[in-house]
Amino acid sequence: MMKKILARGELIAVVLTAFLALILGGWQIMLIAALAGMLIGLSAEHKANYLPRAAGVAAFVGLILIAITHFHNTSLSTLPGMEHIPDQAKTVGTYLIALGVIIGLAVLTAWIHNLADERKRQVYFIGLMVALAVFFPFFEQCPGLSWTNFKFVDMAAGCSEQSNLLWIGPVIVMFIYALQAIGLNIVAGFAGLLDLGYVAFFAIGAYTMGLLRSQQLGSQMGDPDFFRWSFWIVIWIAAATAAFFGLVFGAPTLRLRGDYLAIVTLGFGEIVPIVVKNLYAVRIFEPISLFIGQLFGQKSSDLMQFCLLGCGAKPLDITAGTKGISPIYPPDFFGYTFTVGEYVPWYFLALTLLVVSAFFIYRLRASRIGRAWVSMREDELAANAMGVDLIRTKLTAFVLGAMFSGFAGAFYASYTTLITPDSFDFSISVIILAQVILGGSGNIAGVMLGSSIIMLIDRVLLDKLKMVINGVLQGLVFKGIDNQALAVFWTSLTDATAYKILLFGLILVVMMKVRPQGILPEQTAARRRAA
Amino acid sequence: MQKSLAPSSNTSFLQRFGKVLLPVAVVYVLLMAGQPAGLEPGRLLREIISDPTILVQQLITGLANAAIITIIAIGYTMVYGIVEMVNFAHSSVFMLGTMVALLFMVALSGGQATPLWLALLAFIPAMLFCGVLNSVIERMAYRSLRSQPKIVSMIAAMGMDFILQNIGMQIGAFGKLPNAFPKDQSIAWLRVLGNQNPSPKSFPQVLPNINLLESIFGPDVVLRITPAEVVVILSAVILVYGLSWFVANTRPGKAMRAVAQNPAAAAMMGIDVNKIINLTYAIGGALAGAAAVMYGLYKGTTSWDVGFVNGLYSFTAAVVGGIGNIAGAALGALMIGVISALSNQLLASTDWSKAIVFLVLVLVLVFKPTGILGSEGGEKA
Repeated sequence: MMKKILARGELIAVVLTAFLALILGGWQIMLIAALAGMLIGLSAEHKANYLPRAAGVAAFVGLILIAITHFHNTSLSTLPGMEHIPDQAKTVGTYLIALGVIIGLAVLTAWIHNLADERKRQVYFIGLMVALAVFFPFFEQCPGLSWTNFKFVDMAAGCSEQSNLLWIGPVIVMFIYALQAIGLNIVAGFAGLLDLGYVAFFAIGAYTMGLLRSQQLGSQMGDPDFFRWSFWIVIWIAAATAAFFGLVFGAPTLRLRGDYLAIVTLGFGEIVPIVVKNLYAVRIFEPISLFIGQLFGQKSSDLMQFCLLGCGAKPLDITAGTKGISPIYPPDFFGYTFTVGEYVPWYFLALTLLVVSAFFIYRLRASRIGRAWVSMREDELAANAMGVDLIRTKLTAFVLGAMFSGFAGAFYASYTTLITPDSFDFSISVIILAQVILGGSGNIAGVMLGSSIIMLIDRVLLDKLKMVINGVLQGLVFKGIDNQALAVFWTSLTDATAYKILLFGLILVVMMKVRPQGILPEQTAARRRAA
Repeated sequence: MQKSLAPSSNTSFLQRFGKVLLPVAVVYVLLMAGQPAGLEPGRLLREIISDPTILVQQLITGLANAAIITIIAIGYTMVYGIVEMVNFAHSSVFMLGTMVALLFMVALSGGQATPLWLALLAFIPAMLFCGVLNSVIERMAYRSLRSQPKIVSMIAAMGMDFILQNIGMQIGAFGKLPNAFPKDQSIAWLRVLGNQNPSPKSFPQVLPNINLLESIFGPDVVLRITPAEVVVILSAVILVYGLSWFVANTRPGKAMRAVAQNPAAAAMMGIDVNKIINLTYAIGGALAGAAAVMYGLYKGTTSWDVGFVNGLYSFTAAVVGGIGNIAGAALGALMIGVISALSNQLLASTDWSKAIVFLVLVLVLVFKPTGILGSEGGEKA
């Protein structure tokens, strides 16, 4: 019945909105409205009347959203488990604005989504996202705020500078991941090569930044500040280093079939953190002299070995092992120094990096090499027959993908000021792959959308869900029972954050079965002709 | 006309010597970069010369490693032989198998020491569980994707792998259950899962940790063989022989070979291709289950991430031997088992063994992608 009134995509938007509103509550009504509006717009694929329909559905969803939020504020917040979700005074004005946001964005997105021109659509989409992103930090995010008289008024009082930007930290991380996702999109989306060890290049970029902008190496050389090169130069060095390693690892393996490549990259992603973890006492000799010396010498000291690196009294500690490199200097910008905790400059730096990279990749896709990637993905044999050099084309995709991951890694290192081998574990490759697949591999706007959805789940939703389930368990189920150990068991079993990998795996499997092209598919020549 | 047909004799100096210089340069760089890992041929040679028993001992250890790797690798190689897809989830099926074997052994021994017959009986539930799991995965996740581009089923397989890994990690939560009901003895065995979900879980000591050679030849022997090694190697030999017999002589085995050769022709001859493919997955899974019990008996511990390393080793073994080839898998496993045992012994840290095996994989793929016993597009399975 419901399915007849609402199309599948719209139904998903309704359910998702209700769920988000329940989990997030609070001022986040605006954020949910924006997300839901975009989702509704994207699901409007009707030939006729799609704009009024999108507006209607958006109004419907908006009313649900408002109802739930209102319900939240009035009665739900007293229930167990809900105490972690801030309740706030909401006014009719806030609700009207939210309704306006959801309808406006739904109509706008639906209009863009149904544009005939693929190019225009891409540009408008990215434009819309960038506009939202630029607006974001100026939008106050304190849970106690309410909109009255066209002005945000502090209802709860006690909204500090920090809580005004409640969401900006997760969003900066989202940008870092989105940058990687659009990089992986070159490899997996455009060229159709499954790279399962993408985190390796992220780690290489981050460690390059860490080594060239910290005291790690300098303090062992006698001049602690020796490696304090400019951030704006080092970020390029980091990208180049990542690209170089992409070349080194891609050159021998890209001749292989796709499944071999996948497993080699998988291994690569696992090996790089291991190597990094173990490079804390490095002393390197010239191999031939070392060989002779070790084979025939009696003691290691009286040999004719030519030492090349780490020849001091102590071997060179390159990566500090599991301790990691810290602190990494933050960037300077014309006399202004970025500081930890002051998010807005970081936000705009990340946004700039992302937008410039997206534009660059978008132009790449339209270029000769971009068309070669796609033709190779569609049909290797035909592409080869048309004069596409397969290995070279694959290698360019691989190297460029590595480069963007290196960029992201370099930024990440500066942003967090501490990098350890553990921050580059396998789950990052999974998350980025899920972003590309969910959003729509091959489509930059789609990948960015996938990125925002996955990061919302990863950084915000699962944490909230964990708290809510915990609260429900503590407040309802174990209220009368005095068995703390049983509560510990259930808490551990139902810990939503522990099912992160399962969720992303499920997304991969379900997307492959239901919609392998992703939420926002790439418009290829073949699909255009079919339409 | 003639000129273009003649062999190009005017290749430049650089081109001619590049073929020699490049490998030399690669080896030289590798020997420099490998030093932090302890990859120093001089030292290694010296250590082996001064105590050659290291080599023999690691050959024995390597043989036991190889037994487990072979059985897992056959699962990869059979599936690859028949549908040309790397079943990424295979390693996690193995990992879940170790969990099932562990729980079975502990649950049925009722707080006492696990007898050997019970440990051997664990082969049945582990093989059943893994076989059914693998065939369900094939039915639910892979079958409908077979007609799609290959990257689609690879991504689905990867996703499946993540799902199983996460389940393996969260099984550990049940280890906290006995704390809640300390009086209930019937669930006390769940304590084996530990207090932390992802922490390693220990198998009960089934076989005594003694040196068989010592009890035969007296206390002077330098080499060491434990009963676990003997059991593991014997099980592997039985399984490989059983499987070879099954593939060579039974009707389903013949059907499997037929589908591997040419699915369309096999279908025309009345073979239910879907069923045979599903059977292949089930057999591969069952072997992973068997390997899981062997792993438990031999290594004595498991955790949610044992799948990755063993999967990498096994896949490398399958590729080294020539993927799609059962004998090749055994041969490759022998090489990988010995290499990993030697590098565990001689390199700076056991962490580096993974890197070494990975290096072997890359080198084989680059220089001989068909493996030792593989042939280009020839007979499979």
